[in-house]
Amino acid sequence: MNKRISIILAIAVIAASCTEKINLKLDSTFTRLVVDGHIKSDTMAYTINLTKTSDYFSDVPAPREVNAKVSLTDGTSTFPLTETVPGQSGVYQTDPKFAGAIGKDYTLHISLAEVIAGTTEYTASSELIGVTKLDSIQVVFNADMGKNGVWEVKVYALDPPGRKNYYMLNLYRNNKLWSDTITKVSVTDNQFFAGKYIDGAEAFRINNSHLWETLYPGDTIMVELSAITKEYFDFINQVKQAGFSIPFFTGPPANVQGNVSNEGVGFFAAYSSSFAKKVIK
Amino acid sequence: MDQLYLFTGFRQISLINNGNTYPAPYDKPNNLAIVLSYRISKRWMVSANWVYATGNPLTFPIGRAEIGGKIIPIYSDRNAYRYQDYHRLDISATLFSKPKPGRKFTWDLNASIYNVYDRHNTWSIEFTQDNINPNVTNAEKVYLFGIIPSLTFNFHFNNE
Repeated sequence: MNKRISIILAIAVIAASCTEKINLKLDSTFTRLVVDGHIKSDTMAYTINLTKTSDYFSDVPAPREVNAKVSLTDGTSTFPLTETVPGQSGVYQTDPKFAGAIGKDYTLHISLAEVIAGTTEYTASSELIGVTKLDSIQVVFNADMGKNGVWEVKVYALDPPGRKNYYMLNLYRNNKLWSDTITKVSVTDNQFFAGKYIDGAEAFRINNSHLWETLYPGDTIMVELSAITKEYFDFINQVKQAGFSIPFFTGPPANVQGNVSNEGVGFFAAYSSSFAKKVIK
Repeated sequence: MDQLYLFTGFRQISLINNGNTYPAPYDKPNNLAIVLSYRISKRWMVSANWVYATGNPLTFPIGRAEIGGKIIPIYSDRNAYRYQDYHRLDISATLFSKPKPGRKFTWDLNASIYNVYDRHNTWSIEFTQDNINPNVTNAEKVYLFGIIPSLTFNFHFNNE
């Protein structure tokens, strides 16, 4: 018996020793401005986060870009944004009465207090597209999937015909955002619906084995369906895939393309949303 | 070692690396193999094999941005870095059976060691987010084989 254990241990040691931590020295690249935020057609204060890029091994949160002058224009009117804690937060907000208008092109103007990548002026533009009505959602427990079953969240809505549509879906559980990182957000184009009724397409899966996210009777599930631009759809897909690995037989990776001018990183998005709720029985 | 780069491959494609040339992915400017084999006696043979090659080019992230709660890498120029150089020494000794006329078979016994000085040649490099502090990124290399001793017994039937 002891012999058998020592053989298993020896195999485990040999197998595990194939990965080891290394000390890697990487160069630095020039600092870029990072824009992260969106506006919608609902009336509320919207937030734009401004940060800077840092070295890959910097090991601290991204440095905030403070004291910038930020404003939004729709071609006719200008809406100023104010820093929540001036000189500290790097978080800029619109007036609480602000609401985007469907069909308009919004441009974010950023005038920095310091020079980044050779300039202080940055812009990012996005069209605000109107969304179809999310009729209803269904939450179905599928006991056959996974070890302890999977909750499937299905959506029902009419895909507006005659154009290419791109959707982003966010999930709220008891009014708290479940899809709280960009990798948990669902995106899809309308390839499978193409102007027809979306009859119970699966938007989210919640693994019942994950105790921190499983659902209980009485929980309220809410889905937010948003109509987004193709550029934002591509951006979210790129961010979801952006992790570092060297895959065999494929080319090296490329940088994520956003919509910020002057080699800025990130995205300023504009969209409209429709919501539907369901209480778990 | 730069002066030894006699033949080296480059690519130039207008949409990649801003149209600048960059090293081809399988570019190995230096590649050397030394094989020594010596028959000590009728029954013993020893051999050694040493290989050396420049590391393949690769692209590393050299900056990062935080977007939507995720760390996004910002890459260097295409293939601006190289893996560590690859090198390895293998040795072996072979014992042959006593040659006897009229025997129906011969055998030989071979003892060898692959990667004698246990060099951990890099196969790939990965970056992982630290479990305790998500702001900390660790670099890890994967290597295939450390030192591997082996013993081989060969058995041949004589056809005559």
